[in-house]
Amino acid sequence: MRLFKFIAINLFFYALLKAPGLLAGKPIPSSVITMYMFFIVVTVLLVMTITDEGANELFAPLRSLLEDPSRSLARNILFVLLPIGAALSVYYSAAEPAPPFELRSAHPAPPGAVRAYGKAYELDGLENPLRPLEREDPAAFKEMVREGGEVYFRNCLFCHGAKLDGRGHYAHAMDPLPMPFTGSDTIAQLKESYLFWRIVRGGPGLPREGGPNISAMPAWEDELTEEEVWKVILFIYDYTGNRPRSWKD
Amino acid sequence: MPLPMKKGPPGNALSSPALIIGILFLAASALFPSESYGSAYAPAPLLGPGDYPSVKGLSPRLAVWLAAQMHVWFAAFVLAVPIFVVILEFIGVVKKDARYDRVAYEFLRVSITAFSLTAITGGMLLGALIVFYPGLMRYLASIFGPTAIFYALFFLLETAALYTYYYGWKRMAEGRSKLLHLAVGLGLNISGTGLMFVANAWVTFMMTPSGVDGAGVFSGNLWEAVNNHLWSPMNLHRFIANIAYGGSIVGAYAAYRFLGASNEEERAHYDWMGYTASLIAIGALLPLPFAGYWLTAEIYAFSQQMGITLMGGVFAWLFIIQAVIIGALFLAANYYLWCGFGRGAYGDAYIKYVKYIALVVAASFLVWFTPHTLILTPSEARAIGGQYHPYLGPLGLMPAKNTAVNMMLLFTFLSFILYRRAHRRPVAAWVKYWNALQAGLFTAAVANISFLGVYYGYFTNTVYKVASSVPQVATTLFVIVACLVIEWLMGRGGKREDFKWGRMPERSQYALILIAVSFTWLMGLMGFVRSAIRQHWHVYSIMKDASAEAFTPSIAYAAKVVSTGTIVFLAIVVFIFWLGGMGQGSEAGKDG
Amino acid sequence: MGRFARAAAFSLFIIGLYTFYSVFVIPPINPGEPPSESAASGGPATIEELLALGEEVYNGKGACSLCHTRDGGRAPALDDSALAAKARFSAPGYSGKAADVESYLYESLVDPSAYVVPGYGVSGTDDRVSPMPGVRESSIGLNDTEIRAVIAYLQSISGAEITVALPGEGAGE
Repeated sequence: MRLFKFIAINLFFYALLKAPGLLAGKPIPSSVITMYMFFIVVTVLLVMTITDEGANELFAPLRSLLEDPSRSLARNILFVLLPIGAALSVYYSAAEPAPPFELRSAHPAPPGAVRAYGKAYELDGLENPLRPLEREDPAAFKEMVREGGEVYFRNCLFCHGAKLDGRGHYAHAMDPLPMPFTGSDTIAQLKESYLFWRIVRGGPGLPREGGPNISAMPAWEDELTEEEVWKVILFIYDYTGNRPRSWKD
Repeated sequence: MPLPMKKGPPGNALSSPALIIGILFLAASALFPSESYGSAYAPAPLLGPGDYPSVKGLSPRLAVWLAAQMHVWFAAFVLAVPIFVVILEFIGVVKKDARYDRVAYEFLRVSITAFSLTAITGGMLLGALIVFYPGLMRYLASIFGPTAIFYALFFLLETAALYTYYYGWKRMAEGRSKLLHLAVGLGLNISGTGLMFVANAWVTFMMTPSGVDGAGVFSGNLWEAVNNHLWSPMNLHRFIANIAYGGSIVGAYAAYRFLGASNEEERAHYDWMGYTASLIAIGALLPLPFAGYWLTAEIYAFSQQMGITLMGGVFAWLFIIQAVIIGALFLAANYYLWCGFGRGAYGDAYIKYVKYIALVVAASFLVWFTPHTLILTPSEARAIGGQYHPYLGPLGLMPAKNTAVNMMLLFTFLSFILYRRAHRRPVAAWVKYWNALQAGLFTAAVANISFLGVYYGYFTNTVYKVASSVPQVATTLFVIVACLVIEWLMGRGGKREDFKWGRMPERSQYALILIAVSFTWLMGLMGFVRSAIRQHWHVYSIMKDASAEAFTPSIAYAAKVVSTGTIVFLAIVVFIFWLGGMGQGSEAGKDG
Repeated sequence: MGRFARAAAFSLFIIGLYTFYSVFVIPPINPGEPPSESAASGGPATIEELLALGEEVYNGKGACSLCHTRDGGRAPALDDSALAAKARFSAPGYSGKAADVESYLYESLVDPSAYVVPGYGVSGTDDRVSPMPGVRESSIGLNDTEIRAVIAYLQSISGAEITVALPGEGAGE
């Protein structure tokens, strides 16, 4: 039966998408599953209706169910079950009110200029003033990184963690969780000027889409000097083996 | 050059609004720039809310938005159609196949009414801008005044060339005059493209101004203002996209006529026309991402803030929508090809491979629109432990998406190869080896693209991430070219049966309609974001928008506007086609 | 008409799907409002807007009203500041460069120690050093438009003539 095959294939993919949540405890978000399943069903439908014979065979059981006079009993049962099913699904989705989705852009667009330390910084052309040392004077650069490490372990460690993985002592009390710097999807995607902005302004300086009222990141402008900020930026890139994003080379 | 419209062949009434608009442009160009000539240039004016006239119950921005969008849709269509009309006519001359000539003429006939509508909507846009944004227009005119003369010139040239080309088609059909006719067609395209380039300069200046200082004082070097960061990439991007768009609209027209065809011959004709048009559309769609990539890179080069606003900030989700629509386009194109297997004598043998191709295309599609920042319920966020999913997270990044796009291209191409095989049976001695070579190439390409994506995307520095997309694309292009060459070698002397045009299920025609509708909608959406990343600026970082509607609208609002525009536009197009079809009957009825 | 209706319905369905997805499925992020007049390079276009901005800065971002209170706080009351200004910059202890009311007020905001009203200096400095932070410094961080707006506001609450030029009119630069 082609119709059963159609249903079976779709169920198979649905099970595949559900598996990480059931087996590994890392569920694929329901919003993603919905989108995935929509296109999976469409694709399977397309593949099964390439030829006229295939299309007819696929829809034949449905057509006969709806049109065949001899199957009026099955038809009537279906027409009773469908609304009951719809009602049940609405009931269960409403019975357990789910908290609203979290919509937060982790890396919102930066402003054109940032005001800090009594100066205005144009983020566009802003480079780490210590970065050239890497080429010009590796020994001094190493020293800067070490000092940046000191800044990190005095200030940032508690949330962002000893391994820079976003799992500091306090991290588990926070929502959203502190950003990890390891991996390739946080600082590796950003320019150093972006980090400078995030560090000196902290949570309160985030644009609206970044959820400024839920981030616990302090504005470090009052605690760290400008040079310390640049040093700690050197350190977190160096420690995690990431390179700042650059559009030049 | 004799203008046939003087004698008044049927339909020339359409040309009069176009001429009037052309003269209007000339007048406008004479009026505006005069105030700045000779004197020093003034900085960009600081406007207040009082500088914008308000009309009760009418949103100026919405009016300008819709007028601009209508104009761009019509313009894209009428700029594109002559491009492939000339190409088809040329192929027809070279191949001495009258079928190409006929379909080229029908393409042109379909689009002719749209020319005057382009001019009318352009006039409406200009009027709306002058009425609602006088301050901005005065400033732009003080810089770009002289270019309006070029604009008017190109416009008159295009109009003259168009009517000569269209009305002279039958008269200039033989020998020498056919070549002259082709030359007129070339002139039509050059003037049309020139027209677009001039208009693009104004638009791109508003996004990435150059030739002016921080206060907006014009240096006097007009070329510098014209040739700003985005001008060249935008010219290229619009040029290619127009071709894709024109192809898709003509494809939808053919699909619609196919569905209503009264006899087999007509069915066959419109089937062929739909196939040719959609091939043009998809063919032009393939290089579009690379032009888009250049455009984006230039936006980043001009301003990181603008770049992140575009890709990472408020509009990040817009690119998910774009991915969904382009994925839908690919699925539809593949479906159309798969259904086309039935046209060939040997097509049935290949249907069993379709499900595997579909699996790869769909999987790539899913990867492509997987967002980096997921929508999570709090309980899901807790279980995953952050914003980024351990399995889905890597799929949200560019390397995964580049890989997916290349896979999608490659397997769509495979569909195309199988489609070609549906009516060819190679008999060359080395068929087995050629086949093996092709299979080997494909396997190597898939392995190479995956390796490049995974290794350079996730195990090296960011600098290489973007760079890794280049060898991926190179791999894809190489395989496509190599396989086409092999196909050609294999096909020589092979058995070849003609396609049975018209042997297509009606379902497949809806794929063509979907392609046209999706293109239209997507163009509107991407046009919105292109304009929206200026945020509250008229001219980015130079001249602020001080009107009440300076705020950036949300994607949801934009989607509603675009949908409304799409429906109105398509309704007008349907009306034009209906007008065009009246009395003409079908050209194909006679000759199939 | 059957095929037309079907093609039209199909097209509308597709457009509807895209719209539904964009409006209801993706997260509804509203882009932020354009930055207020004060933050951008532009600025208020009328005197009324200038005064409104000045009042807003005075009570908000500028944090002026924290200290400058009516009932004798840590700083002199400002409700006659523009009228008292002339006496200030002609006073013997005055060490600044101001020659008119507007420039005096500007100087007092940007460089508070240029002239300290007797009795309000940091103790032990003989009224030479003001406890007030300069408004350009990071803790307050007013830009020029905002400073001028505050001056206009001070002139207005003193009942004096408003001499501040609107930004973009060229004066005062």
